[in-house]
Amino acid sequence: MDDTISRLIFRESGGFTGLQRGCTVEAAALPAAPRGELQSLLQEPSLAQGGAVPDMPDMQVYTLELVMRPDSRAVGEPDTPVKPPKHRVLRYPASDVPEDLSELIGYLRDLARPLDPR
Amino acid sequence: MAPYPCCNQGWHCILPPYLLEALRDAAGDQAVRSAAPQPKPWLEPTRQQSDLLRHLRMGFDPSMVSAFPGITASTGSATTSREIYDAQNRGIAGLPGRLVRREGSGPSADRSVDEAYDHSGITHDFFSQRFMRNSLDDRGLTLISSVHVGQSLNNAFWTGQQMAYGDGDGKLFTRFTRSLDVVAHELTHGVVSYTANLVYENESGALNEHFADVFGMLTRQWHERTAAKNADWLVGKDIMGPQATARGLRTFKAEKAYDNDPWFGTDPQPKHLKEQYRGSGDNGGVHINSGIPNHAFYRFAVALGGNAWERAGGVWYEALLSLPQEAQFTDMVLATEKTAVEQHGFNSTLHHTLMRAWADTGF
Repeated sequence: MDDTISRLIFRESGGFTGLQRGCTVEAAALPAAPRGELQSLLQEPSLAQGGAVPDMPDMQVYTLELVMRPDSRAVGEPDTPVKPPKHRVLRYPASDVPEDLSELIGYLRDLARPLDPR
Repeated sequence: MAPYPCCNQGWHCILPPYLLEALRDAAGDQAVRSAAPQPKPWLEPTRQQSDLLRHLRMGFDPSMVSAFPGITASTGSATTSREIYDAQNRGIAGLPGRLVRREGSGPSADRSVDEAYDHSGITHDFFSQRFMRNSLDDRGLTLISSVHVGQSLNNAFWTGQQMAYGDGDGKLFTRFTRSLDVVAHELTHGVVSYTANLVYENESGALNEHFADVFGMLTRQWHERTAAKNADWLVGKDIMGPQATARGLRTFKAEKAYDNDPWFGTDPQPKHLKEQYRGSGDNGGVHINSGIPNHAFYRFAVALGGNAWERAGGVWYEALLSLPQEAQFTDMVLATEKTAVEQHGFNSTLHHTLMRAWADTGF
């Protein structure tokens, strides 16, 4: 069975504004449309790779860190050590968010709040 | 007489022909004689021609433009070459998009298109009239801009070949073409790429951002004819959206542009070397540590008095031309000092004012 995404850590950084903003969201708390896009994220190879981030002045980047819960059958079974969650980090140029993730990224952008870059 | 006598001298690539012609035509004018170190120095060998160019850069005043009809004509629409494209909300792969306005064509029904056109033209004229620079590459490069890039994109950027502007989310930010200092900032990244080509990380990257902020700010002050002491020194104030509570994104002044703001947090820019950011975020703090030289420039320009785009801008422009790709802050200090001494003399008031500004920011 595939791992399931339990939590999302979103961050926007770089760009002309120089702002660093982000949020952390439990996957189960996502509204239907963003959750649907999230579920397809790991199944669609082109999305699961993230996007190529060019090295350009003022390039703004969205970083999506997926915290994945290991196969639920293995967790908590007798004599089976609990596996730590896995993390997967995807990066996309803010100018080139895949259309199949637009609802999810839009939702996370609205939730994002300032982060202390220091 | 040959149209461009320099063509027979083997150094025709440095001073553009339109400028040579304008200077020659105006040779009897007192303003030209006072600006040139020797009579008709543009007919002399390279060193003197170079001296003239430097002299003009440091002393050329916009009010003198009326004395140079050829310059006015040549640095305006006659030599500006602009193309504005509609990216139709696509990203980098879709650039530049559909051509919607080119040089000389009338306004469109799209504000972003017209702002990109107008503001890139003003920036071109600023570099041309102040520093005798013929577009980003000093060879008349066409200024290509794409508007409506991405989906509600809160950003503007330089791709290495062109400018790209987002529409903003309509909440925190409005369209990025709206601000002259934003457009001039992005175009200056182009100038930097054709000159020092500063590596975009750590201190050299912060200097890259610094030059973009400085010449973005100077372009707006020049256009608005605002003296240094009266200027707001705020970067990006015209792109703030209806929900934004900050006055701008960055400030050259000692204060913070925003503090404990619900949407932006607290302005992270240091104004002194001892507060320098040492982390790896933001390419090593390129938008953060640029606050240190930005503040030094502000102190220098305000202490000098008058218009920041004149003497202070002249020193900074010449320094940009001399820096290596991996320049550090200390290289910047030395480059500006060298330029200040060359232009205004060792121990001159300007030299002292400059070094005081650097000292006040930790150098």
